[in-house]
Amino acid sequence: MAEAEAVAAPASAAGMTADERHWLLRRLHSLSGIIPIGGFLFFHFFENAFVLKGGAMWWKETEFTRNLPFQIAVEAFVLWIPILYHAIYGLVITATAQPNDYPYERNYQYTLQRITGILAFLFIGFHVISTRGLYYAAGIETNYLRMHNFMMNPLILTTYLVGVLACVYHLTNGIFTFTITWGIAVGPRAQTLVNRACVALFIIMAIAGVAILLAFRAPA
Amino acid sequence: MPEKTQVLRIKRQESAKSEPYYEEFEVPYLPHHNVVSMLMEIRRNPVNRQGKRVAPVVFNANCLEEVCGACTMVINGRVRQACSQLANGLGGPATVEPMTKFPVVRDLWVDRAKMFDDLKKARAWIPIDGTYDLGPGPRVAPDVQEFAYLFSRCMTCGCCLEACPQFNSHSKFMGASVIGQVYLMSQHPTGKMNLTERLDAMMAEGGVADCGNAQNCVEVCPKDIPLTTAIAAVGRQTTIKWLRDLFMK
Repeated sequence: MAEAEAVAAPASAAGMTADERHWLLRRLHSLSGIIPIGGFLFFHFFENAFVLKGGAMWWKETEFTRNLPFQIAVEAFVLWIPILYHAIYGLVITATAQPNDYPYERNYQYTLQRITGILAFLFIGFHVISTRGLYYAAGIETNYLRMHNFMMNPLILTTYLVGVLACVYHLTNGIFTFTITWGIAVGPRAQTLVNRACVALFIIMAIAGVAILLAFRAPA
Repeated sequence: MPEKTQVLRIKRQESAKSEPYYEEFEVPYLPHHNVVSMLMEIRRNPVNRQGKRVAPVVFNANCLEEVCGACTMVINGRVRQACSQLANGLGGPATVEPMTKFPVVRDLWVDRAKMFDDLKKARAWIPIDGTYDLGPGPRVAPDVQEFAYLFSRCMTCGCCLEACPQFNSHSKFMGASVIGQVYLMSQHPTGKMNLTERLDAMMAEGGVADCGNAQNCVEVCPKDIPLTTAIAAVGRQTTIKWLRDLFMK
């Protein structure tokens, strides 16, 4: 039967049916959240953690990310396009949701995943425009002093704290649902283990994220 | 009226198109009463709390032992079978409403046809009828039988869909019950012969990819069916089929 299909398929192989496209868009949404967006968030935390060793060290260690070969192409294809796709299609998915008040842990996580997704979208928009956007538009470098001034402003600091925690929650819970979607963690025991590991990862990344943000408050 | 009574606050609706409203009834309290027997009590004497004689409350019920799924309702805000909800511990006034995810026919009676249509779309059956005797089917190992039995207990009651945030009027999602049946059919060696077409339905819009992982389905299922296991397992089957098709077709 599989052979017969393989022979019959080429007629439609050029295009994709609406259903095939739907499935592909859903799975690309799931995948793009982990690779490259999730992968980048880990890296972004790691590079910025150098601020814990002082502003000068941070500036020196993050130097290479500002001088990449094909800088704009790398930023566009590794970051902007996947993030825009994940965010916009995520909003399309969120529009099909009808959250309810059934009192189960996973149900709260479901609702929180959608709320943090929207918060993360708004925060990343602000964060990218105010750093890379201003650099490309007006040549303003986001150096230590600029970040320091950001973190000394209570309103911007609050925005960053909320935004970073939303991103961290959305990623760690997303890793858990990724393992369900792709059929990696199938049974209840496997899913409970992965969920706990993801909660632990959330706590670690939340502490690291807040520590990095607060480290920028040290005078230059 | 005996000293102790139970008040039921029932969401009523004259027809599919008319506006819903709430009406309260008071029935004698008996600890062994359940919501269906209390609705029968109201049917015998359809007088509301204001003492006005009204049209009896329309409801669906059949087996009265939580195996048919017909009397599924939302009681005190939670979906379940009315026949297994005893008066004892119900509290009062208790709210009794029809399920919200299916069209109301009248009062507490809803039309669950979408569930059965979706089972057809997903081809959640094993075709064994033909023009000649196909002979006995392959044997199934006892542990596989035991596992498959868990999914065969589904009574298509609709609890999993009522509690699912992704199953609603603005989404085509078929919901956990259908995915559970697709998984059940793939447990059986004869059923596996039609796995491809079932997975095609699962990979279409409304299929397994539309699950939002709220996992309310497995919590509210009155038959304790491991629905989230079915969802993840069908997710795995579709992943494998997609990769195979990507390189083989």
